Amino acid sequence: MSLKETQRLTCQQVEFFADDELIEIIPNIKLPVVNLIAGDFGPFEVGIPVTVPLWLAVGLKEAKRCRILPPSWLTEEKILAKVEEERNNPNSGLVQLHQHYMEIASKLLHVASDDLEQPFKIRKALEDLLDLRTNKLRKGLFNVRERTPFIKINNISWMELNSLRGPLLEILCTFASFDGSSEMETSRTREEQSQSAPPQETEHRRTLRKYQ
Amino acid sequence: MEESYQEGKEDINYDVWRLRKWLVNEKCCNDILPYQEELVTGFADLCQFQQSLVEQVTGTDDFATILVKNLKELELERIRYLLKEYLRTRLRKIESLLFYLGRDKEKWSLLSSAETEYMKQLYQLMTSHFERSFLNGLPEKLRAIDERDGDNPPGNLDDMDEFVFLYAAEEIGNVTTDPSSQVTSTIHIRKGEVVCLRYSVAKQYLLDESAFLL
Repeated sequence: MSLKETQRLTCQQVEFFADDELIEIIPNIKLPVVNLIAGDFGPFEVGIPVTVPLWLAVGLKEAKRCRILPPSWLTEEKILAKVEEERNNPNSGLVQLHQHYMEIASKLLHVASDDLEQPFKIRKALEDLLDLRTNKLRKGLFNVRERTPFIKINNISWMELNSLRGPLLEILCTFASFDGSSEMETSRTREEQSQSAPPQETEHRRTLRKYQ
Repeated sequence: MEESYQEGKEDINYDVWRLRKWLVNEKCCNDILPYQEELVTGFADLCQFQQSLVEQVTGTDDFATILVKNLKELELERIRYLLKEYLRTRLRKIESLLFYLGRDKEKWSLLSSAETEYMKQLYQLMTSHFERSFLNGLPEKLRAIDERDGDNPPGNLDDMDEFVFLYAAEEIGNVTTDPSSQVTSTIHIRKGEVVCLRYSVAKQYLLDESAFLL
């Protein structure tokens, strides 16, 4: 097995990291301050909001000992606003979202849907948002047409980046290997999503078709 | 990228985040990075201490006490996973880069004493195995086993200079990208930006912790 295969960051690991994000809960149990390695959380008083890591919130929720307060961005209205923003700016970069928005939303929809307002609508809005962002990223990927020393991909979430990693790195490495032909071309500063020039039928482009 | 977990909140041990960042840095680049001894030994001691506290809680029927104990055990498992994955990732890397590390003694300072010992012994075992099994039967000029061939371990840093995704935790400023190219270009990296660039460019920002890999 090559080094790359053994080292790859998996989706499960990204999800594991998302579980450390802080979230507010309203406990229905009285507990003293919980001294964890990651920090001290609590005290937990009935009806008083307290900030805890997501994994702890999920643990208490599964024991039916708290109500989770969803993050401010996890409402149908806020997500639809982001969908609209993404839709209105098809040629610009991605809209800013939480770095673990997919993982947090999916976990809360799974374990705490009763704490969310209209979870079905939230799920639908999230699917729309994800589709739009994925399409934007795919388009951006297809716009990489020559050797480039860097690409800025602002506001990409960690999970989105993890799915983009393989194809994008392969494309960049492929172009880097076409050293001689593109070395003399002027390297220019650009962002992946800002590319809108019409594609040209070159050998490089034909190579890239497999990533479509 | 919006980070919800920004420094400033009291009672939070941000070393957990640092350990996670170093784990991801190791996973996302082909080079071996400096061993984070302080973090690893610190967390190993903390885990041991927390385990002893958890074990002291016995023979109680109090629901709240049992719940807190379970939460602490759950967290212990999470921290241990991070530690193990960090160490395992480095061991896999050492095995993959064995011949490169074996002959580049400067790189040994990046390893822990246990890792260095493991690398030396493995290097010796592999070398003697290859020699006994077939190398000794070849003409002398073909006996070297540290040459790159196909998917074999890389022989120098150039082979590790792949593209990586860098997240700027601080304002980095102007950076010259792709210094090996005839055409130089610069990029201004602001705090919170994600840039895909060469590892050789990103490395210094990983080492001073002003950025990390994703």
